Amino acid sequence: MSEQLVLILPELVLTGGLCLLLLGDLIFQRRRTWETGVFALGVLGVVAYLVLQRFESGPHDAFGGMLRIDRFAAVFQLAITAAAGFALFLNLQQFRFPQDRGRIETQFLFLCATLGGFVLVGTQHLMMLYLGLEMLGLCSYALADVHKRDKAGAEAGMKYVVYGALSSGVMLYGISLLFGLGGASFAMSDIALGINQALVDGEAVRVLLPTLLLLAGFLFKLALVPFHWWAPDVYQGTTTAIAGFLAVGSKLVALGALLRTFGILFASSLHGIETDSALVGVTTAASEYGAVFGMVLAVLAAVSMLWGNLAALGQTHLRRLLAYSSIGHAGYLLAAISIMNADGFAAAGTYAVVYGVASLGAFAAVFALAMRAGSEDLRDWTGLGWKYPLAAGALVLFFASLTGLPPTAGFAGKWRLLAALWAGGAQELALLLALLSVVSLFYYFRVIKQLYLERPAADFKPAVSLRLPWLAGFLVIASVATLALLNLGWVDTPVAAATADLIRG
Amino acid sequence: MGDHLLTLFVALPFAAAALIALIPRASQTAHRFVAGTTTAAAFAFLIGLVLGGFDASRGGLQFVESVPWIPAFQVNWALGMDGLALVLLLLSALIHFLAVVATKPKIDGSKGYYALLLLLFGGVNGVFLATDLFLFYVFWELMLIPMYFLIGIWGGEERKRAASKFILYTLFGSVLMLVGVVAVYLRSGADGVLPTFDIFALQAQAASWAADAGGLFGLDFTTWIFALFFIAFAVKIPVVPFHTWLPDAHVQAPTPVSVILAGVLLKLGAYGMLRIAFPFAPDAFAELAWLIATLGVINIVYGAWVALAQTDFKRLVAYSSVSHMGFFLLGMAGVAVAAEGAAHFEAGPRFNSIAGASLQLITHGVSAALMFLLVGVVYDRAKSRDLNRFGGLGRIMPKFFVVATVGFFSSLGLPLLAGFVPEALTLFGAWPSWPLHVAVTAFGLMLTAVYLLQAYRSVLLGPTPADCESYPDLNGREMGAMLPLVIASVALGVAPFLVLDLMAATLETILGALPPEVMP
Repeated sequence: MSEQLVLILPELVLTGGLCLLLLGDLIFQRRRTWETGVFALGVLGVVAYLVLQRFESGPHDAFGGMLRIDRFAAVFQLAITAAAGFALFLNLQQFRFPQDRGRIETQFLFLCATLGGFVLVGTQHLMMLYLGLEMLGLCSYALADVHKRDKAGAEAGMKYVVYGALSSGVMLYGISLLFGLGGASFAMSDIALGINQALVDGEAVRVLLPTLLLLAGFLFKLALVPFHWWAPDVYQGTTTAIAGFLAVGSKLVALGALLRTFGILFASSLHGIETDSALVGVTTAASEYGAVFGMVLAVLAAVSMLWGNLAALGQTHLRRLLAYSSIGHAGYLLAAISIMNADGFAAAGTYAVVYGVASLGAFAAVFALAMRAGSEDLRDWTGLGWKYPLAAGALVLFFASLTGLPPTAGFAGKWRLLAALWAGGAQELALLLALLSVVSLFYYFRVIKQLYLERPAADFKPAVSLRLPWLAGFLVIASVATLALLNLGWVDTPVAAATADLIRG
Repeated sequence: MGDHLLTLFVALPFAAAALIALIPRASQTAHRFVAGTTTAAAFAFLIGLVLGGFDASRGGLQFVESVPWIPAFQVNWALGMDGLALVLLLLSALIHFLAVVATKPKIDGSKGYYALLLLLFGGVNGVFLATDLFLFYVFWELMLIPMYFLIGIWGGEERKRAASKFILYTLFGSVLMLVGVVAVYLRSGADGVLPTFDIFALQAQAASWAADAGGLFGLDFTTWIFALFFIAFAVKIPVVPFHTWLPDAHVQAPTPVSVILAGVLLKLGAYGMLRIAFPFAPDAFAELAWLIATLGVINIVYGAWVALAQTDFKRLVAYSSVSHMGFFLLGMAGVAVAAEGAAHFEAGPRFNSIAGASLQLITHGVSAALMFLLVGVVYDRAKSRDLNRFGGLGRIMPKFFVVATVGFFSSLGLPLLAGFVPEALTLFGAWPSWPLHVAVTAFGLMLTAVYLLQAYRSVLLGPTPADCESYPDLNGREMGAMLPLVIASVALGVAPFLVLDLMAATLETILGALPPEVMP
């Protein structure tokens, strides 16, 4: 038992940390938010260090297969830890505003959501998957609503909860059907066998219905059409810190879980048709089903890509713009998954991480600029590039990465996506993705245009002047993200390797 | 040291840009000095190569270097120089240096301006020298953002719209190229060998792709490749109907940036066609030669026709660029078809065509740069580019008169000046295979003469309006920027072989990669 506990040390530290935070809230009566925030950041730092160790050790099953510890999970666990740390850091700065003061709950919720994300991406058991998803989800609903300031914010929170409840209910129904298919087992590998049996028996509908229902839960978390409605409202209604966490942390672990779940459930179709005579029947049936399922995903992906990118064109609120663009990016990810092969999964994994880095950076830069401008509205940002070259320059870099311009990592990610799509026979999607990145350039550069091609108003006064320590912290975030962006192969190769592990089983 | 000659050359402008970033904001002269020295050093280095080191009798790459960069995708940091690249690099270094000279000593934000100029220069050098397709694409895109800011920040009244239009059009072309790069890379690995990004290895493979049938939307693979790369580079050249970004960008950009745009950046599109679009799909190239010829003629005639209607001096020059770049396409169409029996390349129509087409890149680079500088001179004095406002400037500005005369007549194609030789070569080369097109081109040449002479008359001749009387003649900075171009115009007109000899062997290699359709 004790070696099992050692295996899940990061999760234990996280749990201990969040219990202490709750205690701290009772003891300090909301007077020591700064100290507790630093404590929470420290916990995340330790967790990140422990998760890094998981890259060294081989894959392990813990607690009878309820948890899976491998480097694939570690990639995404690291991502959500980073996103939570980032959000905590920005959130600390928000204490400067009286209405946001005293939120140890927020800090608690970030840690709790992170724990949910750890479980979600680190399991091969559908019940645990659901628990992880709900833990992450419930914390996210609370987070989105913690900062309600006006009616629109409250409405956004409500939308989020209702959509979330709906999709999670649908997903649970799918899980219960799969439970039956797998011979009364929640283990993904058992269910995969059940699926293959059903497919060989020619009962594809028995597979299609539950897998589509299962998909719904992921679509919601990834903010993909048709479950995307909450994203723009919630991003706009909450704070930049929380929006950044939702857009990156929550999204990345959901993608990791999606890759793992479908990677195992459809392992036979992902491997392609085996020449081994004993398996020909199974793999042929699985491949046929994989093609149909992939078609569904491809349509959803295409619609999301179009929707996100086209809707972003008209936005002037920065977080709303980023929300729509993140719908588009999720569409790119789903497109890579839709070709249903190992290359596509590796490309999706890589792109998700690259997107995460650039996106976090963009949220940080938006935060820094919005604090000064006193508004997230683009029209109030006239000429800020000349006043704040650091934050604005970082934003240019991150937007270039999100557009996929070399020499940023976004280009490496986009390259992987295009190569996987073209090789996987989805040339139409590749062309669409390429053309939509021109559209995305248009709205990203509209921001850059406002920052640099206009001159700042002569009487411009910053709403808040960020103090030096915060500036230093911001610099660290920005420069880490920049380094990751400029080293094309740095992020790309380990993530692709980890995803390849997953497919190999 | 000797092994990394080209890497050092490519790295030089980037290092200089970083140096400028370290110099305090107020030291404008220092920024200018670093930029000027860097571009001049690059030019001197290339001249040094011409005088000794570069072997012009060889058609292949020289000073080759290659180190793995991203092993997972067989991407190499691979550079190499051949005659065509050398000549275009010379042009680029000269133009960038003159652009620095032509910039006014005091400008807002000179730090950013010169740093971006050097980044652009580095990107251009990289594109000309990259022999790895991935690297080529990286450098290609690297030019995008500096140009966006150069137009958008230091440009004229409509600069924001022009900058956005420029970057959107260019990226549209680039993403198509990216898809093409993906397709070619994957195809090169489809026969069980390791896929490659080596441009010349891909060229060698290209002939075997012709058999691939049944691609997307019913087009075969080579047609796809051709379409993707052709459109990508056509945006840059620009080929009508992808040209509409050009008048805006050229007119709104500050004078030195217009000079770079017209003098260098348009040539990159043509270079891409010669290196990539055509040799990667030689069959489609030969089959679609009628389209290339027709587009070329449309460029020539349409560009001239629209230029005729302009009253804005800078817009007129911009459209004349569209018109002149049409000769490149017409020449390339002449390469695609060979009369039966014309097997030897030496002075055959195919060689004439390609020589004309590539020489046009150089001469247009020189004369368009000169024309934009002339526009800049007039604009600085009058704060207007309206052709109807001027007159008789030749009388009050004698130095300007001489320089402008060379510029206008070189652009017009007067014998003994730069513009004449490539146009004549192109027409001779294209005549046997495309007589009708050449005939229509002659009409375009007439239009060219009309609009240029009209502009010449309204700026330099006739009575001088009262408010123009006080215009000072060219100052030292303006003279310094223009005189080298005047000399180059005359030199290229009198002795085009200076440049042609450097390129000839390379051009024959390119001809070898483009087997022609034989005319019955």
